[in-house]
Amino acid sequence: MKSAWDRRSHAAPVSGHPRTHAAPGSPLQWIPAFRGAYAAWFETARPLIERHDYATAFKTYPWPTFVDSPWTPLETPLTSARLAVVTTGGLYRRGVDRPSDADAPAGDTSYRTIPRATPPAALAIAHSHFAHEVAEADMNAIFPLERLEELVRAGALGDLAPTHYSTMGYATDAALLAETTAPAIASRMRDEGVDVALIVPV
Amino acid sequence: MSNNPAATARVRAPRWVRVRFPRGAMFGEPGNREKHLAVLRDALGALAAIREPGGHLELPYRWEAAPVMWRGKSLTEGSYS
Repeated sequence: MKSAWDRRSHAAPVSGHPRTHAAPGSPLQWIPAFRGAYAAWFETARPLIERHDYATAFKTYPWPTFVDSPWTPLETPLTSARLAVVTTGGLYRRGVDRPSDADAPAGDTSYRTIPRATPPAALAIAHSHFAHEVAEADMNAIFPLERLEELVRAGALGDLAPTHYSTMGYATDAALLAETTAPAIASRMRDEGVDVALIVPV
Repeated sequence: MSNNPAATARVRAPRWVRVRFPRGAMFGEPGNREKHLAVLRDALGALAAIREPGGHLELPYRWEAAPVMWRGKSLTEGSYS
């Protein structure tokens, strides 16, 4: 796949299996150390999170550190590239999908698929950690499928993937995201011939 | 896409563009179709323009609406922390 979702990505390892030991030089090297630090952090942070004192809780979060940025050259001209959107806005199809669990102290690392033809009005937000007023007024502010369709019609972009994705931005277990969620999304993108992933953090 | 450059740099994103909009409004004000399209065109253009891992571009757009309020904080760009 000629994708921006790089095979070497620390965020989206597409080879290997969850909870395996990372070889030296592997993009997963950070995970064992993170797991230990995360478990200790969460034990301390949980009561703070349950009181909604996020500022104090996250002062000591064990942010993973990476030695480099993954890179995949863009090999397909934009005018013929296929793009998929990944938002962390906690979007789901109302009445179709189970919402993410925004109230869980550790957050939720699961993801939802959003078919290309989904009307913005069919989407709801399950992410209680940001102001919804802008997205509720116009979902294109965080998930711009309608605007991207315009760019496809104008010939500025080749195509949109059949499937787009939402995670919920409040997900504290970075190892679980890297080992499970991101590879699942990347695998589906690969199956659908995606060239470019547009990541929209919320 | 990033409205929080410190966080984006920390995770060493492959390539990114920075917008100066508040969290929860990555492409601009609700209903501002022209601005949404301009941000998207610039972001897609950055795919070709950025040639080194971790490279990023600052987009020139600014928030042109009332600040977004969240937990008592007023925002016209960036995140809450």
